[in-house]
Amino acid sequence: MDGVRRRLARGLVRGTVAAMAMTGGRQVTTGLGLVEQTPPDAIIKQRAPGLLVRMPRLAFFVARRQAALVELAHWFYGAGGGAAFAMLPDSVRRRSVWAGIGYGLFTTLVFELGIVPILGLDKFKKIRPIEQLMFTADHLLYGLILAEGEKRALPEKRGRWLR
Amino acid sequence: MAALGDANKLLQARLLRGRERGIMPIQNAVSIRDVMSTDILTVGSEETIPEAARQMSERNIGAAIVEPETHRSRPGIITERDVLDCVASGRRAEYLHVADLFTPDAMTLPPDSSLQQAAKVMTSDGFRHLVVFDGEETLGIVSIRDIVGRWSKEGQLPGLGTQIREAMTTDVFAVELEDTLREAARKMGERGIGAAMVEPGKEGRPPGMISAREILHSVAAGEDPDTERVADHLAPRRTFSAPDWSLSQAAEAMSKGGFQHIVVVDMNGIAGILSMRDLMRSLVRSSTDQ
Repeated sequence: MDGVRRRLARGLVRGTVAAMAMTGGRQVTTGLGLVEQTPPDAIIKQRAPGLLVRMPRLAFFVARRQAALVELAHWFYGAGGGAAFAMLPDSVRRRSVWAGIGYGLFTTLVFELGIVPILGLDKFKKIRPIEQLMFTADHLLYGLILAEGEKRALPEKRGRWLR
Repeated sequence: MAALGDANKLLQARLLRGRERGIMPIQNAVSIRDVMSTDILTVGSEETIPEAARQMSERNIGAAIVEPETHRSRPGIITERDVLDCVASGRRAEYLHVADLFTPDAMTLPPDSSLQQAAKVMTSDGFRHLVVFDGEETLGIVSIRDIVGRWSKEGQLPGLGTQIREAMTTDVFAVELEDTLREAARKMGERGIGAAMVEPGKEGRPPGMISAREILHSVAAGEDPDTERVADHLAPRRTFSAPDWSLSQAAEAMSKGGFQHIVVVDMNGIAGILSMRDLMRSLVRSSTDQ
């Protein structure tokens, strides 16, 4: 049980760090004009009418501090993703590059095929191909950082000749 | 008043010409008949202002129809802005009657006019309510909120990507907590606005707001606007957004939550205020551009 908790805790920390790296990447792509609006930004700006109707005080708080809150929310999701990755079998986590690419693509697909249609984000603004490419690239970065960290935490696999 | 009547005739003629040419109203388009309120409040021209205000206040509505003098003639309308202007002018509401304040020959539209047409009339002439009249009798009343609510519900809001900052009013006006309702109404009346902020400078706390609706409630309760303070009549519900949130989100919140205004804030404090009228103006502009 302790081992599982430790794995989860490690995953949470790695997920947060990997999401922070994504934030840095997005600062660059947004600054260069490649990406106009990041997905967490789009969610809060376009799909939170319930917040305005039911929780005006919270809407006031969020509106005044949205830049920080959007990043915090993104890191929170990233931490959750890191914990989930940490629970994958050792055999998967050991393949750092492929596992990272696969997990990065998986998180992109979850967003594109799950969150975007559910929240109707595609109705508001057509996402340009370059933006799509950048979103995929920063999710790949997330996956690779996560996977490389997990691989390093795994015990060294002994060679067959040592048995 | 004559100008209003002329504008009305012009509009009716334009609609008729369009219909003859088969252009308007658009076939299968939603008409104002589908969104209007049929449960309308009708007041008599001889009723006192506090009595009319009480009926509007009880139903929490901002406009009432004034019975026409003769059958088939266009009805009049009295709104909360008329009551606000009355308080602002320094007159005593208890000595006035509906006949002293209402607008005779209200702007009317036939029931098969499209929402787009109603929206254009509202924005060009500055009305928040239009009377739906078929030439013989009053069928209902349509407000900005009814139209925005329908567009929002059907996902047909024009200019989906527009930000609130492009539609809001940045010249935000504030009144003091200690101002009397008369003073607040006068300040609002002078600027032609229906709502003012209260204590906008208090760091970290949501600012208060007072609007024509609160003045209406106070007149309805028979209170003296020269002694009542703004502090005791703040709007019980108000909501907030950031300038870069979408206008469609604001429209949905206003129509579902029944807000007439959204206070726009950023990290520096109040950035502006978005009224139903600002919203409608921007939506009409977007639909024209499309």
